[in-house]
Amino acid sequence: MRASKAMPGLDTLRLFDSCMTLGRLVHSAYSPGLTVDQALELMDRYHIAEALVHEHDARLIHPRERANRRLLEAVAGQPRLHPVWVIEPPKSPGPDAARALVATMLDAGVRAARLPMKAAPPLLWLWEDLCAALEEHRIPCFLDFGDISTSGEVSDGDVNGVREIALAHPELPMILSQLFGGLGVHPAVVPLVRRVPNLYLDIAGILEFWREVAVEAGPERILFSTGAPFADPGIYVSNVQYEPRLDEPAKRKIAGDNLRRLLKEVR
Amino acid sequence: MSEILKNWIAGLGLPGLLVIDGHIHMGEWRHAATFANADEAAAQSVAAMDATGIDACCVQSGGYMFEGMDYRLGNDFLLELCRRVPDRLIGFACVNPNDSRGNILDELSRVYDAGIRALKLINDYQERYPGDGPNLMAVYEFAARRGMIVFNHSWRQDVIEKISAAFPDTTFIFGHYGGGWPDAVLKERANVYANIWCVAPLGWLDRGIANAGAGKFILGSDGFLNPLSVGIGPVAFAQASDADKRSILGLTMARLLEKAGALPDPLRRKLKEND
Repeated sequence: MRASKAMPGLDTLRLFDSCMTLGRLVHSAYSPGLTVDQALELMDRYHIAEALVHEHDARLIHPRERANRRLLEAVAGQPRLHPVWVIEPPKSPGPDAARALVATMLDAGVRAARLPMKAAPPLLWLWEDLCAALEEHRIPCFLDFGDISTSGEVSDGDVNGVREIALAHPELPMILSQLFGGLGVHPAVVPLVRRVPNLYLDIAGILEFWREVAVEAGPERILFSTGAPFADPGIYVSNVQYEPRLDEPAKRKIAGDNLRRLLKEVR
Repeated sequence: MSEILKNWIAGLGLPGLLVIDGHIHMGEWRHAATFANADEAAAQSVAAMDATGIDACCVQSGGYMFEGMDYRLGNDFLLELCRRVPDRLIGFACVNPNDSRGNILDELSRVYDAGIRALKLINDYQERYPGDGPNLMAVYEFAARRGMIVFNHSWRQDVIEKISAAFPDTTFIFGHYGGGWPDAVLKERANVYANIWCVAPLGWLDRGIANAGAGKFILGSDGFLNPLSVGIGPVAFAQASDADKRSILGLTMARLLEKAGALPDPLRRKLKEND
């Protein structure tokens, strides 16, 4: 039947996907992965205007630089695809190596980072140099708790560690990315987002929690993501478009404008 | 472009279609409350269906269906909701197979007498009681004798093969379809269907339709844990014909409910118009 009240048209939301994986996958549970052309085709199909993309191998294989560099070559000349590097704390302690890594990233035109929390757990002493360097430039950081896919769950220790890091770096936008947990995300996640202003949540935790955060802490704290190709974008696209409690300006923020603002604030 | 997709992305919902969400839960939960009481649940569920373009939902229990809980209280809440919204909420009662056989059969009789014609099982979350354990076999027997639909969170492949053969006239629906071995069972067994709610990977529904046929898939969102739109999105965007999408969005479920005697009159009329 017809919706009782028309929802905003999908194109008016200007979707900006904050998590899309490029590269070949060999796994019985997933499609073979996305090339650049396939990603663009997918975006057209789901009316996604822009996407942050990272390389599959960069999440899982060292040296991460190799796949990060491959990503740059792949997306060169594609204005709808914005590269994200997967980075972890340099082996050498101190600010110099961390600053060098961030400078290399920025020089390459990369304005967002994906931090692999399973490879380098959220311990303040481990991440403080790199997060300080990222914070100097306000680079949005996506906290990735996934394994083969970008989707993952957090433990009590993870939540506590994220809290300590985020509070220690209040100018660093940190996004809890692709959290998922069956009947609910970890019970401390939503209280944590409410208490830490530079912490954001993407909509992968599709159980009621992102909507609860959007209503109670503000839609500014929520980012759209699909997690493609590990998840069906139709789930997430429709989730935002047809959310009954949020108005169109709030949906626009979630759909893409929040992410655009964060990227604009990178310096 | 698909007319269904065109309307959906324009924000119009699903005009002209008969849409039935085959998988929603209502009631109290362990981790959160979705509705304060039956009044609010009835009003807000109708509002959510209206906002999304859904005619009716197959409503199942909330936290009372899990292990350790008195499932009868969840059924009480369902019956109350079905009394309040009889044309749009279709009850699927739950039992816990770890209870005594007598208690289970008494509860089945009680809900059947109250008008319930379908069951939703979730033995995976009830101490992992086996899907072909003796108390569930008794449940299937009860359902088979009365033409009731049996929906389960999931069955193992060997179990669904066994029970669908043992009760060939009973409709079995398994939840959380995500592709894989179920395709062969769906294709081979005329009385087995899949409810589609799952955070599944890109292309899953298209592959399922190609392998088993659109007529074996039923819309589901796992609302009101989730928004109702998350079930519709994958169907609307699927690379299937609009005829196939209409089947998944409501026609197949409507036919199964009609067969079980559970389709409300307004939906029966709409089924005739759409069929």
